[in-house]
Amino acid sequence: MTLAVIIATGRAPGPDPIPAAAVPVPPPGASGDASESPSRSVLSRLLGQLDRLGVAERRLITRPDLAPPLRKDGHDPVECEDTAADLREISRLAYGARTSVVLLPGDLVISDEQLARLVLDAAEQPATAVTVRRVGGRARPVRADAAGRVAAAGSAFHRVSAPTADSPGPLHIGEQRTVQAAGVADDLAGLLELPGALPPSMALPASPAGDDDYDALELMLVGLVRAGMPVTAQAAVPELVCRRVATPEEARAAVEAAERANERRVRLRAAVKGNDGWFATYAVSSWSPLLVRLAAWFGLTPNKVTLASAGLAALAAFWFGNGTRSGMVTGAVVFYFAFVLDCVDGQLARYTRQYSRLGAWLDSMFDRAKEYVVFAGLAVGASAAALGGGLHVANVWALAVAALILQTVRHMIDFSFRDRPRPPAPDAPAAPLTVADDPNAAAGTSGAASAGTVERLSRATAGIPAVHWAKKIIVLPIGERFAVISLTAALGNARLTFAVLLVWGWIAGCYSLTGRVMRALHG
Amino acid sequence: MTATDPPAEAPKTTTPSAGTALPDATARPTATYQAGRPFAPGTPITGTARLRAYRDDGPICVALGTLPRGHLPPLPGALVALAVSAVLLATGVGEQHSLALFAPVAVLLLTGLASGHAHTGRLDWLVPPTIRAIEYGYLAVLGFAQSVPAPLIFVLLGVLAFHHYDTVYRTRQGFWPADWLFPAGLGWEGRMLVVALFGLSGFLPFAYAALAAYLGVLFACESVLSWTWLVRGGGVMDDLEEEGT
Repeated sequence: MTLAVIIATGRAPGPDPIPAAAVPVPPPGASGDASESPSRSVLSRLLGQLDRLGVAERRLITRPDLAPPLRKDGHDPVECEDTAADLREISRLAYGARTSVVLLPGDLVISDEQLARLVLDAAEQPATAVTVRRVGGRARPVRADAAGRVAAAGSAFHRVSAPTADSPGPLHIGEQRTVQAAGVADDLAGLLELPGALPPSMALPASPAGDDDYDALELMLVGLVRAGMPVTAQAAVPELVCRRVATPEEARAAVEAAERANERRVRLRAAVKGNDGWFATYAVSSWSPLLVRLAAWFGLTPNKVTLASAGLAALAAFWFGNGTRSGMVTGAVVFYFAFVLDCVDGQLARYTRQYSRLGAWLDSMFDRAKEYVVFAGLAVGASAAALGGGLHVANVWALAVAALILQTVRHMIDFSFRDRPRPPAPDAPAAPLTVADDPNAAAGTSGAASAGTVERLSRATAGIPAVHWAKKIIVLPIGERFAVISLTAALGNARLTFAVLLVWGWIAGCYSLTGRVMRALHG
Repeated sequence: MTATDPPAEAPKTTTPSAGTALPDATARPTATYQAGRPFAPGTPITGTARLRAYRDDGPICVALGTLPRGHLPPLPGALVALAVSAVLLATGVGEQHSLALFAPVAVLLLTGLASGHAHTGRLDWLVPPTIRAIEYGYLAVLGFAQSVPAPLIFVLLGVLAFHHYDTVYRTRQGFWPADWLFPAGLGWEGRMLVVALFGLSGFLPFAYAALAAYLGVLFACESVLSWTWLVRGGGVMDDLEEEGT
């Protein structure tokens, strides 16, 4: 659950006090005949998007003279005299929130998918700010570091050296950090109320704040970053829209751009895990998005796909248990498709944002079960074939048991290393808010310098594709294991399958264990 | 949209992690032992409850672990135990009264005493996989040497693997197995001792079958029932999507 705080203090140009949030936008799907359809404002478009994301708790902040047009549209804003009052209200809301808090400008036009990424995907992070490419307009510069954190943020007073992106304002503050953020908002309000503490030295020509010197959102981002809170820079997808508007023309252009973008394609692209193994990337994810769309079209849940994948693996084990050549080949093909569905369930979950704890557990448990059931199938098949004088000549149960032990112990090394005790990463040092200059101007590369030898070597070679894939393949990830089982079973016999799994798995175990021990000692 | 004031109350406290399922999980981390470069003094090192759950200690091991009050580092003992059990298994495992049958006692003394340690050393994450290697390796080698039917060995190890993966994947979802599950599963030391005792008396296949049946029913039922309970809304978490499977 999330509380959305919408700051509608931006003004549309013109003699009358009209909030930029009340600027009309074309209704969905309408092109050209906007005069016929019921009018819709930027703000009501944004609220509709929040409805669809299940964000029911909303507060609206505006200026007293901007409130009547908003009330006329059926909104219920809180009136704040100036930016300091905005910040006091944000502080009060964040302090009382029992959930994470999303801060949005009221005059924001944002693609559904981009908003979903901020509201849903960033909920577990301490804090997240959407960043866009630097094109000017109603946004403030930020500098993101190599780790994707906001290292510095700008406002009418605060400068950023070597900015890498712009922030149009949207922020998501995680549940654990709302009290800290409330303190930051209070500090900022106090400074604004102190004459001369934050002189707005560089009010931009297209100031997002309208008549005010500052915008509450730009100050919040600066405040959080300078308080040392880790703020993730969530780079907007280039083909999606996230920008603030002030005029009907801008609003129309932004909404049209948002509707033009193929969000389904963006989502599908993001659904494929970026750090998969070589086999999963090239032999499965190259075509599995087709299946993802098919499954989504049929309304299948990820868990059903997981179960189907487990069913296919059981079928493969059954064919392997037959022990004949045709059985081995059939089993190998079926096992490949079991792996394809194994990738599809995760991709479908990300594509449809149907995450569940049960789903994650089922997926992982069945992954292991699929492999070990096939081990048993291969061993049964070898015995059956030996009886019938077929392909195999031996009892391979010992090899199957050895493969199970090796794989389980390798996994336990992975899990334990992942959950090893580490001191929590400290927040960045705080920097004063009353200094205009970028406090971290020279500290951009300090993270890389402090890393251990292994990590530096690992980072240095990560850019070379051959090395990158070699390092992935050598650890025998799940895709490679499934491929090895299918190929060796189809072309050779169960003894070959287990021999390859054991030799390769042993090398993989030694390789990753060495790296991890060194990382743990020096990291 | 409503502008009613949300209650502005006292600051909320951060939710404590669910890592309280193990006895002694809150034992004071000892800063005396660190392999490699020590962490800076005073750094809070948290989150070893899961690492300790991965050990899968049984009641005997836990009881032994209370004796040194968590001051004994776990890694050296575990590595020695791995070497000792390998040697004992290598020295003729076939005869019924071989030395290998006493390996569980040696391993228990070497690793059990340190089970109360907070596992805060830099390399203490090596302990759970070491224990797994000892346990699985012992069950497999002893079983094959004393001609337990191979599929039975595979099934027993599969049941144990289910439990150990389940522990990892469930705690990863912030959902801990019930406290009683670890003692009820006998722990790694309990299972090794049972097998060794039956090995002495010559009923090893029976022991494997009984263990596989008992543990299989125990682990599978506990897991399925607690997930069912959680999905039906009995759990404390409210962020679970209902997917009905």
